Amino acid sequence: MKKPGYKEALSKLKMSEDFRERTIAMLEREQHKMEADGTLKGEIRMNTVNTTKKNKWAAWSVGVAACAVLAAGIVAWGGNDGGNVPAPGTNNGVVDSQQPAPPSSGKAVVNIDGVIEEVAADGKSFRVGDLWVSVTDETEYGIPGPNAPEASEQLVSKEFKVGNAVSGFTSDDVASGKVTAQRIYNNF
Amino acid sequence: MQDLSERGEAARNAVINYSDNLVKVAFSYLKNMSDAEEVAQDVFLAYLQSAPVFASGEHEKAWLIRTTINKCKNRLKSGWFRRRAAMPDNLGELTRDEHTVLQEVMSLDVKYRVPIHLHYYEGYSLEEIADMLHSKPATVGTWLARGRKMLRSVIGGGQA
Repeated sequence: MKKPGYKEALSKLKMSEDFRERTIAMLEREQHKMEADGTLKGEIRMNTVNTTKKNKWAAWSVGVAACAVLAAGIVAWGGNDGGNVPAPGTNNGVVDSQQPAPPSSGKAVVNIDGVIEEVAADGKSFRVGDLWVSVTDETEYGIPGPNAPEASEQLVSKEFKVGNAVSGFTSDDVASGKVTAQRIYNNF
Repeated sequence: MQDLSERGEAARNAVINYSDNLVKVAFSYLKNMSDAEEVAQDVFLAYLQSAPVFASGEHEKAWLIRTTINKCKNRLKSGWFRRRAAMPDNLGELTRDEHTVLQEVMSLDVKYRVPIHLHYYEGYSLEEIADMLHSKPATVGTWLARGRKMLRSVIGGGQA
């Protein structure tokens, strides 16, 4: 009897009866998915590349934003003498006198601090935030004391202009919204 | 470039025409019908996704077989696959002699087994097999001769 060959033996091996149906169904599912994705040959989406690009853009955006913040900080720090924007840390021109003064303030007590936003027609009062400050003939200018610089060298002027940075002291209640300054330490 | 519906139609035709060939090629590599079917499905999926352009039906079949061989190689390389039982599992319909022949062919090293399959089952020439396996025709001839010799020594016949 003739021995069977490899071809005969392998021909009897049958794949699953539903292999073709299963495969065609799988291909149709894939085809629908590709249609939904809009994927065509040569246009297979390279998600990795896109993600990298996206990350790159995000990194650049964050970098540029950080630079912008730094630049704004530098401008605000050193360039607020010409503008009418309040200096950082000032709030409505009022310093809470109830709080203990920091050690570096020495004897000076400051409860008027900010940038002049409005000056009255007579030039004798001005507004810092919500606080109207008036000066009188009794108002003193500059920093007193044995180690203080000469009055002519101090950055204090008797002429108030919008945009000037001003700080001073009043014994009046700053919460009232209108005070008379006892002392103007600087106005420039 | 084919549009998606043409590609789908071409892939379905390939499933109808070449499923048996691909599953058997994969079986000659993997010795297991379930794995062979999985690989064949992967190949048809690759066909749909990459939409290769063919000069002829033979070219198409050769591409499918080449892709099947590559996918089988990848699977054989994976650690989990190597740890699996290597013997064929669904040979219930074979006679004892057929079973013996198949077992002996499957016991050959894959380097001899696959050229034997492509030559004796698919009917490819040495040149065509060499092209599919990225080898030289003379090398394929050597593999075939050695494989035949090994089979002769175990099944005692000249036929593969």
